[in-house]
Parts: sequence; C-alpha cells; structure tokens
Amino acid sequence: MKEDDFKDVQAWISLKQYESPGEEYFEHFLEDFHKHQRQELLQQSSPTTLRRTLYNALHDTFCAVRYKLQQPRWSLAACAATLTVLITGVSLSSLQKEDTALAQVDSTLSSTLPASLSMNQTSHSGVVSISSESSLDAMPHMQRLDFAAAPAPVKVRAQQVF
Amino acid sequence: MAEPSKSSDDPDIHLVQQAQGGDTEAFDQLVLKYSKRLYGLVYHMTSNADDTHDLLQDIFAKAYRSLSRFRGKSRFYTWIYSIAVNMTLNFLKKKKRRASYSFDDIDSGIQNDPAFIDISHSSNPRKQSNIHEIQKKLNEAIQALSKEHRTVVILFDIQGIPHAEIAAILGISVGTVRSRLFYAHQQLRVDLEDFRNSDKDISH
Repeated sequence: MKEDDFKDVQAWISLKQYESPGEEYFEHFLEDFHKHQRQELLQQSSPTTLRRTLYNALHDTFCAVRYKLQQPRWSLAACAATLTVLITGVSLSSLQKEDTALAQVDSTLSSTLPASLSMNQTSHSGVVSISSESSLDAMPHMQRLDFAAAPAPVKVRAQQVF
Repeated sequence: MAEPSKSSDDPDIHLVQQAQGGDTEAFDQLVLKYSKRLYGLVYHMTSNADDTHDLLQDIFAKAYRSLSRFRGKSRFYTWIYSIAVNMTLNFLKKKKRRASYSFDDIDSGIQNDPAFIDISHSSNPRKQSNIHEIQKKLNEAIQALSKEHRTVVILFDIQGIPHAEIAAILGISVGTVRSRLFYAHQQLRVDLEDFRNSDKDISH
C-alpha cells in the first residue's frame, strides 16, 4: 500500500481532532482538578485508601516497566516478588533492631536510676529486695537467704531410706 | 530511541521550576495549557467522555505528585504525555470499556475543515455523509486497532505529533513508530475500504 493511497483516510482521521468538548469544559476543568486534589488529600488518611493507593502505585509501576521493557510477565513478577521479600526482610530486621534498642534503653535506664530507688542485689543473697532509705522498707515477709553459708546437712532418718 | 530534548529547549521549563518550588499557580498554568491536548489523547484512546474526564484528573494529579522527580532530561510536554499514555493504557487493560461516542461534543470548526467539506459536499443527496456516520465509522476502525497501534495513530494522525517526539513519549525507536503507523494505516484502509468505495461509487 502506498502512503498516497492513505491520504484520504488520513484526512478523515484528522477530523477526529474536532471531537472535543467546548471551551467551557476546559475553563471549569481547573476548578474540578482542585476539588479532585482536595478530595484526594482527605482520602489519603484512610488506611483502606492507603492500601489501595499502594497497590495501584505498585501495579502502575509494574505495568509501566513491563510496557517499557516489553518483557514477559513472569520475569517482572519474579522481580516484584523478590523485591517484596527484600522489603519485608528489611522491615523485620529493623523491627528487631528497635526491640534490641528498646531493651538497651531499659537497661540503661535501670542503671541510671537513683541509688535510693535502685534494685539492690547483694552477691550473697538470693533475694532481691527493693530498699529505700527514705520510704521503702524491706517487706517484712521477705526472708533474706544467705547462700554464702554452707548448706545445712540434710538429716535423713533411717526409716525414710527405701 | 529518539534523543530526548534538552531542558533549555523546553518552553515550559520556567513554569515547571516554579511549580517544583511550590508555586501552585504555575502548575495551574501547565494544566490549562495541556488539558485540551491530553483530553484529545485520552478520549480517542477510550472513546468514552466520562472515563476521559476521570482519567484526566488522575493524570494531572499524578503529574503534580511526581513533579519533584522531573529532572528536565526531556521536555515537560514529552514527560506529561508519557504519563497520560501509560495511565490510559493501564486503565484500558484493567477495564473492558464499552465505547460511548459523544457526538454532541463536536467542535463547530469541523464545518470549515477541507476534508469534511470534501466528504460531505455533493449535489447527489445520497453522497451527503452525515458527520455522525463518518465519525462512527472512524471510531470503530480506530478502536479495532490494538492499543499500541491506536496510540501512534492518535498521536500522529490526530494530534499531529512528529515521529521523533512520539518515539520519545512512548520510549521506543523512531523506526518502531514508523512501522506501527504503517501497519495501522494498512488496517484502517482495509476497515474503511467499504466506506471509501461506497463514497466513490456514489460520486461516479
């Protein structure tokens, strides 16, 4: 087919440029666009919308990359799956680090507590009691055990031996 | 692949930089400038005015959100057209839309177009082609094309964008643009053959 033969068809197709709404539509379009943006901002706070937005963003990226690369779906799906696993792994490890950091903060805080409120742990006692010189008296029912002393021999009566 | 245009050649670069700096009125100017052209692109891809309106809002919203990532390696015009094409193609993939042609929205300027005058003028009443009939036939023929072929026809034959710019918009080579156009023109010629033949028969 010669391109010249197509000229009349091309002329007809060019008539489609006239399929357009009037100027009034475009004058109001900007106003509609501002309303659309405000609506979007309001909806962005919703968790459901956030999930949907994330899904749409991922899907759009996937389709755009596939369109550009002209690659089969499976290869890009594999890349997307790998990426998801990596992101999940990074998120979990960062959460673990947070937990570790929190634990460290706890221990740091406990070591910096004032002496009057510190957890006293003697080297030879098996009971930890919170003692305070000012207000917290050792609970009377808590018996201090002294592991330093040699254990008392267990006396076994002859008739108890089987 | 076509060489991207430098930002120094970009007539929109100042508005874009202002918009990136937070000037919303600058972005509004860009919306006003490109809304008509992008409407045409999206409408001819979807053949549905309602979908076009919704998509156009989404396209400019996405452009606004992504504006900070625009580095000026291509013209803004190429960049926003790429967004529009990609979003429209994604939309068409997600939904199988029933085309609804809005013949009421035909610009009165068509009456002065030589091609329309040539088609519709005749002393023989049988040859008087109703504008709606022409548009209906054209729309059917264009919708019958694949999305990729339809895109190049719209960009080149309807919007008058040069091959090199189409290549930059679509991220393909100029050769690919030409070959897709050639194939699309062949298809359209076949689809419109009956219409052309009936037109010629009547004139003789």
